[in-house]
Amino acid sequence: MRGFLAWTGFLVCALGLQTTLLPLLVPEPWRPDLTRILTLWLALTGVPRGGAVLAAGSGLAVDLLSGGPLGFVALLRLLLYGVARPLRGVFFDHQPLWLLPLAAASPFVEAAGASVLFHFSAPDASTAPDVWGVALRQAPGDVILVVFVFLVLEMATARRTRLEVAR
Amino acid sequence: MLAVTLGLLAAAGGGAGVWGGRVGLVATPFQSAVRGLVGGVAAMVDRYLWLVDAKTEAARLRREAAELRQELARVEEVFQENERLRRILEFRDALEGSAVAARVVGRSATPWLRTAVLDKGQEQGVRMDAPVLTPDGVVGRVFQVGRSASRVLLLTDPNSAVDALIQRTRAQVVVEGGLGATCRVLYLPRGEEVNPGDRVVTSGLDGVFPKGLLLGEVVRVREEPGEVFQRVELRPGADLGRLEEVLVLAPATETP
Repeated sequence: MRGFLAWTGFLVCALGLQTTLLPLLVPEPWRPDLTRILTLWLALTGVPRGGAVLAAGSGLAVDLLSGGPLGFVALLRLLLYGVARPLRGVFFDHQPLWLLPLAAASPFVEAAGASVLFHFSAPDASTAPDVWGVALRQAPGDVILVVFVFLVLEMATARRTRLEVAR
Repeated sequence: MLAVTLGLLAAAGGGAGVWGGRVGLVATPFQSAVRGLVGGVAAMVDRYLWLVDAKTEAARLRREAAELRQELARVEEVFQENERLRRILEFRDALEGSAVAARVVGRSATPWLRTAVLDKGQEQGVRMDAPVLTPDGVVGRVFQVGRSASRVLLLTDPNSAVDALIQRTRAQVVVEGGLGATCRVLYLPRGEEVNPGDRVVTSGLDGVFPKGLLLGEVVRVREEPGEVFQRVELRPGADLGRLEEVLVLAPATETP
């Protein structure tokens, strides 16, 4: 329960950062999406429990903060969680480097979901939005971001483990 | 000690007489050596003290330089902000009807939507569907209004569509967002003249934007075989990635 609450706080901070500070610091074509990277962590590590709920919750918060259709990003986060979840054992037990192509693929997974959702939400739109272009622009930045985020989370987990062992 | 003794002897001799002169001759090199040694030590101590002072002074100067650099950056920031606000005010004076100046305080938290949050809302006179502009061009329209904040749908959002005119040829088109840095200009028939660099302005027919506001410039034109309309891309005049201050007009329905 403590882990769940801590992660809720974590996601709120990530949301605050990605809506206010980060857009000012990073160049425009790339929109840093910390909650997407955190969704990957939740899916791949299974820590804390209830990661799917957290992922969907963070998606709903993104919807609320962005003024988009409620549930749009939440569904994309659930889709990403569902795609990454089967790789849980593979990722940590065998090949942590898989994380990089997975991070690069995550915007494309969401783009596939977004194109379906856009199709249903605006069926009379004259042309489909350039979701693949967005994914292409996001992928390189996400690969760099995922390394930092996972390093920080790994260090935080190791520190907590050390403290628990010491106790 | 020897040098001092010889020196005293020489002094006692008063410089007169054979012994006095000889002692003086013998003592002189020692005296010089002692003087040199003492002078050297004194100079070293002096230099050391000066160095200590210099180190403190250098630290103080470095601190001052850092403070001045910060001050300079702050002044530069204020200068740039003043410059932007002056442009906004001049632009507001040139517009018809009332307008509210607002700051952009947030962005959409996802790349799948293009929205921005303003620090002005209903209490400051911002209304639903109000056009949002910068001196460089149209930004979008207000689609959510709170008491003291509002949300803008940017031109590049896929849900945004604005009725427009190619300024040079007066051809009527629709400018639609597509999530990219550019917008799409729709419904321009094949054969209709349009060139990169052509300016696109609002037509005033959509009931949201007043007529004649700059949307942007055409950057690419393509004609695909078998398609009725040309594929035209427009770069928004306003830099939607670096919005800081904007003007919110009264909605077109309230403008006299």
